[in-house]
Amino acid sequence: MLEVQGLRKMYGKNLAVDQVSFFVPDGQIGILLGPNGAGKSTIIKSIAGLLRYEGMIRIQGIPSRELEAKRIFGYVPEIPAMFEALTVREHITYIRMAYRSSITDGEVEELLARFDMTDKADKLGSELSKGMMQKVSILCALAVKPRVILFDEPMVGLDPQAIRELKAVILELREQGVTVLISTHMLEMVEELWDVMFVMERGRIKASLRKEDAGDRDLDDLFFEVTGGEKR
Amino acid sequence: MRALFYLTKRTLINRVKKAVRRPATYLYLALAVFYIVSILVAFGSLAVAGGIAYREGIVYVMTVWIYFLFCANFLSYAKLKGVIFRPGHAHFVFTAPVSSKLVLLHAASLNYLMALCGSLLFSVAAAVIFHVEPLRAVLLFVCSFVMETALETSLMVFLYSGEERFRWLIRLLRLVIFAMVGAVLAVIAWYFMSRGISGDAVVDFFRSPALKLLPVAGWEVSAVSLLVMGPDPWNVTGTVLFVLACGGLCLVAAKIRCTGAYYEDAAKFADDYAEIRRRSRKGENTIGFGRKKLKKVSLSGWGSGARAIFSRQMLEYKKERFFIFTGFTLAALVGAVVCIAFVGRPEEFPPRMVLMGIAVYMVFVGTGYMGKWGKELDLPYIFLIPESAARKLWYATCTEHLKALVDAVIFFVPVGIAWGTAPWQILSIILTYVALQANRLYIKVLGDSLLGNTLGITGKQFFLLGVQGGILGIGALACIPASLLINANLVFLIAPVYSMIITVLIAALTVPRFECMEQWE
Repeated sequence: MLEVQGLRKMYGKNLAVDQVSFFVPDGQIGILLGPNGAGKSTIIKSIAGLLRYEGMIRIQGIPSRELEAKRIFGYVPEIPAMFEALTVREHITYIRMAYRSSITDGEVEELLARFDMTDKADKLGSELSKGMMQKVSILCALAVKPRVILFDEPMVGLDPQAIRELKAVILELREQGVTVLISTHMLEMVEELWDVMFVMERGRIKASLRKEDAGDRDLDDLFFEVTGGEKR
Repeated sequence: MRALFYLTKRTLINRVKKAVRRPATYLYLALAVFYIVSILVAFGSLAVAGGIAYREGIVYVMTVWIYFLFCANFLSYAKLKGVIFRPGHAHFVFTAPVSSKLVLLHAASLNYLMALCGSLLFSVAAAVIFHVEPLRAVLLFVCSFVMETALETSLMVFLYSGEERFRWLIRLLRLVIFAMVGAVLAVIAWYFMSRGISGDAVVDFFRSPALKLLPVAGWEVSAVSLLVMGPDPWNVTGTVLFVLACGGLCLVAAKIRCTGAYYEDAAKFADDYAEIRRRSRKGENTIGFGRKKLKKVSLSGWGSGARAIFSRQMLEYKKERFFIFTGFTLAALVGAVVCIAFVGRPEEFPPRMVLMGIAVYMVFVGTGYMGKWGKELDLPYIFLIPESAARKLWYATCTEHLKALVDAVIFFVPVGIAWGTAPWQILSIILTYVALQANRLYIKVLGDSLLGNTLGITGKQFFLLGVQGGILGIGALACIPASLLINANLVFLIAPVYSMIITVLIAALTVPRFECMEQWE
């Protein structure tokens, strides 16, 4: 489970996120929606421990800054940044060592194959295209075998096959009881994935909604209902 | 920690594997060896010239180094910019279940390496140049490296870990450091004003007990003095204080709680540093971190076609704080003041020849620096504009010619007048300078288009230096005999004509390459 309570973040004098609270239970997929500049990435980065913030964030009940919380937490940032002199396989090995992950060699090979990265496993970080970097970033987060995983705009730069595979992986994670939080503004990409959604605007959560309460309305309808925009 | 070791080990192995395959590596290695030997030789000749080539001399040299290093390190660590992180750290290390203190200690490995090299260099210099016994030199190396690293690392851990809780203390310490540097500079100024600048005054200043007792940096100087010169009351007191300070800081570093709050600043610094490296590889100005503030301005009378490139560049420059004036302009201004006020009219060589020499030297030194031009070639819409390549090349480089002209006028006109050079000769020097600076831009285009990515950035830089150096060399071969055998004034005719012919020739070679710019990769 992922629990955010009274999260507040300021950049200098600018308030980026103001008193944000939400909860995503085990085995559910939360979607963080909102226009550009709404504060989605700030929330994701705060949960990942990359920002100073006020408030409380818990991963499986453990404060997110604790090493125990980090050990069960996977993170896919919006812009992947590879180590230039490390190969794809070495990135995964590093993650396995850092997280003391229980993932087996066979499972790693399977993941590489699913994302069409087997033949690129020995390529250096500096030799990868943006899409490949995104795949490595996803592979590394999955290699953690996390209990909670965050995706910040995960589909950007991926080819259609990889997007399909990623969606399948996310649904499998849900089946395994993993808590997933996805930040995106590509509504059509997460249409069939979400269980609970949080719509953000100007640093605040404007609405949160469970899928069972949505009825027949699709994600587009719900989003524009909340934000007051118009669906075309 | 195992994971971080693995990260370092694999990075090192992969980098070495890649480096041994590149011919440039061997060139760099040779240059590094040459550089180190040159430093030692320069050290030696300076020590002899300054009359300090005896044992105590190394204490004076290290005093300057220690004070500089301590202040620079403290200020950069206090601003959380003393440890170099990469964007990969923010992605894969800051989020990993690794103690944030260990992350910090691991990331500072480059700093330890620098300390090792510094200590080694000083110890070798101590034995070879300053006649310190080998055993003392070894002891100096061990102590300066171990103690310096322990002190620096502890300070770093305290400043990075305590940046939230001890913000007031860190600010106070920063103020104290500034006050200390100010006080030391004021004392130096007062001392030399009252005693005059002489070798004896400098030596007396370095022997002053105050320099050995100022907190931390002075105490470290005491330890060095004790090791090299043997005990005296001041250096023993200072050394005891230094050991206590090291021990105390180590204890604080071990005990202080590090929550990883520094990750936010470190991640931002990593991005800024990556940007600086990217710009530096392209030969752009890399002074200053963070984003530049741009003014809000507009441009009337936009040009059409290829002229739009020039208009866009002018608009960009108008938004800059100093318009088209750069570090080179400042250097030209300062250089002009120095040449007029301090250097004066040369007596040994004809001033006009000295000025021509300076022009050629400035062109050669600035060969690798591309300024905005380096970035311009990355903009694909330049080759998409439906105009002839020649016009596009001209308008894309126009502002650079203008900048070269401004810099040249700022330096050569006042200095030329002050040194009594004839106006037509000043004009000739300026024309030569501007033409050769233009040449540099066109050689860059030629190099990029011919070499693509085959030789890397270093290869392209060497190509640029080689071609420009060759052109300058041939020019010198034409000018010098003519000036010696026929008439000295011929230089001021041959140089601009030759420069302009060569520049037009290189530009003519460049135009067809500029036509297919999008295919260079």
